[in-house]
Amino acid sequence: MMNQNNLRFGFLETNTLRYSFYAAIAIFILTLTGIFGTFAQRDVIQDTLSLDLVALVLVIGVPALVAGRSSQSDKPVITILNSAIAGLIAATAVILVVLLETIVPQEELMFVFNNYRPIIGGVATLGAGQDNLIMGILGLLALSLILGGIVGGILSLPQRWMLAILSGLGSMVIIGLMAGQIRNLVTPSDALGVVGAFVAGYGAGYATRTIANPWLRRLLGFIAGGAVGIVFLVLGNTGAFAQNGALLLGGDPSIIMGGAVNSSLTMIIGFGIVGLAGLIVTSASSFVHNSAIFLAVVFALLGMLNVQQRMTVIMAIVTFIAFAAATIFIPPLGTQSNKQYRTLSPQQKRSIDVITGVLALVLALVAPVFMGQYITNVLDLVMLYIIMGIGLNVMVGYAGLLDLGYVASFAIGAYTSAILTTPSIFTTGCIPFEPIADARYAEMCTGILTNWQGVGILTFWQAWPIAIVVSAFTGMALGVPVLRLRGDYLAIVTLGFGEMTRVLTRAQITAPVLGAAQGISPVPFPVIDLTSLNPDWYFELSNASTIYYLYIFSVLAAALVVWRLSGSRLGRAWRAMKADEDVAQAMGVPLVRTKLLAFGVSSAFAGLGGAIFAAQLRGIFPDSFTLLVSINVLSLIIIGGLGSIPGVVVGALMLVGLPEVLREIQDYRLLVFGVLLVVVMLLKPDGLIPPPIRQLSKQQKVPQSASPQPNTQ
Amino acid sequence: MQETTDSGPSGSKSRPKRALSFLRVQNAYAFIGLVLIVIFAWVFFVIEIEPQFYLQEGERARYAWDTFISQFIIGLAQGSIYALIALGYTLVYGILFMINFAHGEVFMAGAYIGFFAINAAEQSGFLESQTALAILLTMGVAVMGSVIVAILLERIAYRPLRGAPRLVPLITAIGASITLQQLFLRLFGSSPRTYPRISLFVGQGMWGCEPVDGTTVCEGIDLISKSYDVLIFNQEVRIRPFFFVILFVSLLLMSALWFFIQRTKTGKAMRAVAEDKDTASLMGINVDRTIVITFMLGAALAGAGAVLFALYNRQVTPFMGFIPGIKAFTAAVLGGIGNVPGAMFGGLFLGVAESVFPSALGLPNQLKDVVAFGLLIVFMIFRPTGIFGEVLSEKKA
Repeated sequence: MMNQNNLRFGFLETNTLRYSFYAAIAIFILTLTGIFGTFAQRDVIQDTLSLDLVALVLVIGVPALVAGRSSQSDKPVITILNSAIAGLIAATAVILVVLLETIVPQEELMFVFNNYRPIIGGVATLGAGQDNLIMGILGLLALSLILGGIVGGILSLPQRWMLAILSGLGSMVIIGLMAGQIRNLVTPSDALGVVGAFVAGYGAGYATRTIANPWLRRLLGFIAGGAVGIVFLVLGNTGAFAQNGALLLGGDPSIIMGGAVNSSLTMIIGFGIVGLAGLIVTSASSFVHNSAIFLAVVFALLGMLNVQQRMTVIMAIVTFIAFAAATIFIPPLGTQSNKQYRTLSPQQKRSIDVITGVLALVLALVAPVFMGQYITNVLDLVMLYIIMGIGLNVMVGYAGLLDLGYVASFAIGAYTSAILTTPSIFTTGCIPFEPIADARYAEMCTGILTNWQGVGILTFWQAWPIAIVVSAFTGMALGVPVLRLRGDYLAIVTLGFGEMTRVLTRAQITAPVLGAAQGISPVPFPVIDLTSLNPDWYFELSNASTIYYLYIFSVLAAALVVWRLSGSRLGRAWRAMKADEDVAQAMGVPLVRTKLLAFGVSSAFAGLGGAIFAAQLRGIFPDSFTLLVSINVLSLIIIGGLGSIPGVVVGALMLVGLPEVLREIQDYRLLVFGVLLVVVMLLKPDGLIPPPIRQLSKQQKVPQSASPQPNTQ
Repeated sequence: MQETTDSGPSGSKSRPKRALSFLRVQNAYAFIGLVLIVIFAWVFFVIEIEPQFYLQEGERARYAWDTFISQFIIGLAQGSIYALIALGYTLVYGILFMINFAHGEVFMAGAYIGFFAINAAEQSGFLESQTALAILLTMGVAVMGSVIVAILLERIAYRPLRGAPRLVPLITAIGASITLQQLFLRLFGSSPRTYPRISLFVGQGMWGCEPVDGTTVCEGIDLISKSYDVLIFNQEVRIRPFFFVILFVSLLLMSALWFFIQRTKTGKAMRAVAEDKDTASLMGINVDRTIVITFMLGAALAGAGAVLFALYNRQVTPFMGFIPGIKAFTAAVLGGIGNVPGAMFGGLFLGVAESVFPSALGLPNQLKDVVAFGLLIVFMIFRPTGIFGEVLSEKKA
């Protein structure tokens, strides 16, 4: 926190006053937006904790938290007092609104503030109505003092305990909000089995520390997991589990597994792999270790949620304890595993990294089996934005060309693929209102594609590369007129491209090809037809959880391509150009070609994403191609950290995934998005995961040891 | 400024030619002249020459001088609002080299706050009795609202990030823009607010005469809401006097701004800060204060423009600032961003072009945004720094 001019009067610090004053203004406005009225209907914990109470606790707690954090004192008493005062000031903002409501006639208040609902008698006055309003206000003041004091007390605890309580409370609220969407993700039997196998593997990892041979250890871990699998198989066959899980018995067969999961052997192997994962993390880097265990905790909680079906009081308590305990106990374990990891030889480290990578991939591939359509849909969207973010990163992060019209390339990819895969004036020369057999297109209609070897329309797989190439070339073509421009001029011209796309896709003038407001539909879904190899291998990528595989493949491919490019001659040329165009040119970087390639490569990824997007929606509509897409992609790469691929993933999860998941607070979603953009940039201007300065540090190390110190001469 | 770069060691003369550089026009006024000649030649062709090839005897051309004149006037009015907003972009850009993406929302805030002011005036009957004064007061309140929003914006979203990488304030600006839109949406609701229909009569006894019950009554000209048929250049054109009011008020405000920047001490400080922040602060100029004043000036113009816009358009929504904001930014770039006369000229030019071009080119009116941005791209090829832009801005940007 910023500590400038933090003076203290008695126990009161100026920071406390400053932050709580800002907070009070924000809370006053927020209360007028009707936040308490909107949230009153939602329960976070069933029949116990409603969302408006959570909102009240948050508006008092957050200022108290900030004030307490900014307090420089070592004495807990002072922190507690400052937090309590901050809470009190925050609560006065709510009370001001209460007073406003008593003074101003209701219809006038609601004429100005359309979404405002009366808060007297609600949670803001602790249930007190007009007649005992004084008691309500006093009660709120007392509550805010106590709450602020509690927050201050939590802050005075050791760091780890504080984090534990906060993460416990936070995850309780988040899981409570999402309970409706995630309650059927994991069956209790699956949760029990998988977590059991993981724990078994983890225990095996600790028990076998003395064994030197890594492969023997891994085998033991596999056996430990498999043993759990056998136990569950036996239990399952006796009918101990009323609900069949996806991994255990029954469940929905996915396209990749093809129902093979039902066989006992696959199940034991699956559990063995989980056991192996449990063992691997005991000697992996702390990041891998900690995230794996958190994942296991979430998995177990999801299983319990499935039994409870709602966020009951017990569920809430268990969630709190689980997350608090995880926050306390996992980091030390992680440090231990990291210590193990550090002592390994480079070769062994590499093998562990490879195994973790493969396990993560397997997890990602199996994930759609568990996740419902909703979560998978969200993940598909996130991955679409990851692909686009990786692409835009080439332009903005590597080449330093600010592009605000990325949606244009995205739209070109989507429309190209949609046009090529549907019958239209352009492709077949006529639009049949009834489906006509492909063979008859050639006779009846003369479009571009029908003239070409009598092909009616293309399949997704044929149209996809064409869409990518078309996107890349249009990207380059758009790049030509703006070659000379830099910085903000480039930004506004590309913004213009984006807006032109928006208008042109809606315009009547382009309607025969682009379909104006109706867009193009139905776009056929991709079909993987391998029946010549095996009669069973016929897969339709027709829903969220199957197109997921197409996305994940594309994300990996895109990340690989960009990762390889970034270290290549071209990547270095981009970075040189970003640093200084004139110097780069002097060093022999061909500016025109390098810039155009940045435009082309970057657009190609948008086209790649666009084509899948068209196939996923089974049609495209101009409403999908607004400036918000460009803004989202640009924001996520900057929030994640410019030029870093993990940053893109984190940014996409945060800016695309989080708002989708928090649909429960629908009305405030975009508001949260906007505030998030500002706050993250204020706290972390370099992004959440800035790219490592790899090249620089490598080169710096060599001259430092080799060259003589300048001081000594 | 121009000379130093040209004659400097890394001046543009010694630089190898870049793509399309032969198309550049060096002199701003030559460029404007060229553009105007091309436009009028085209309009003349479309109106006078082209119809002779296809028009039957007695048929009316699809496009004639009266359409052109009325579109031109509408365009001027629209353009002066763009210019008012564009000045805010350009002032901030001139000093901080950042795109204040949330400026369109400052404009929107002014329109909303103006709505509540004028609504209160209407309820109390003040609007009826003292129309001109009420409108002026509304404008004052709207300006104040916009200024407060802009000050908060600068304080919260931009000031802590001075010196951060250039893209960072851009993202906070986008974030602030979304936040403001959503906040106004949540506060004041999604349904549009409608400004009252106002009539302000001037020149009673002179104009607008109509026979009523045998005697001629001259109620005067309604400056705001009504349209009249007028003869301009021998063409009968239907126009709203309000278009001229918008143009006049905007020109007045812009001259006031020009005076402020050129003739006052604060204006001088602004120019100094724009030139070099560090040196300016060494000269005893309070840089932070000057930057806040710049934001306030831009916001004040946007607030005044918002009331003019809302009186003309009447509907106010939380998303109304977005498109005019983008257009105004385009106008600022057209004129050469960071350059005050450039923003004025760019705004007027964009407004007129957007209004005249689609029908002059025979395109549906739906495509006016495409025309606007297409124009921008064409301009950027011929004059990459904007009309009045410094040659150096390429380097700064």
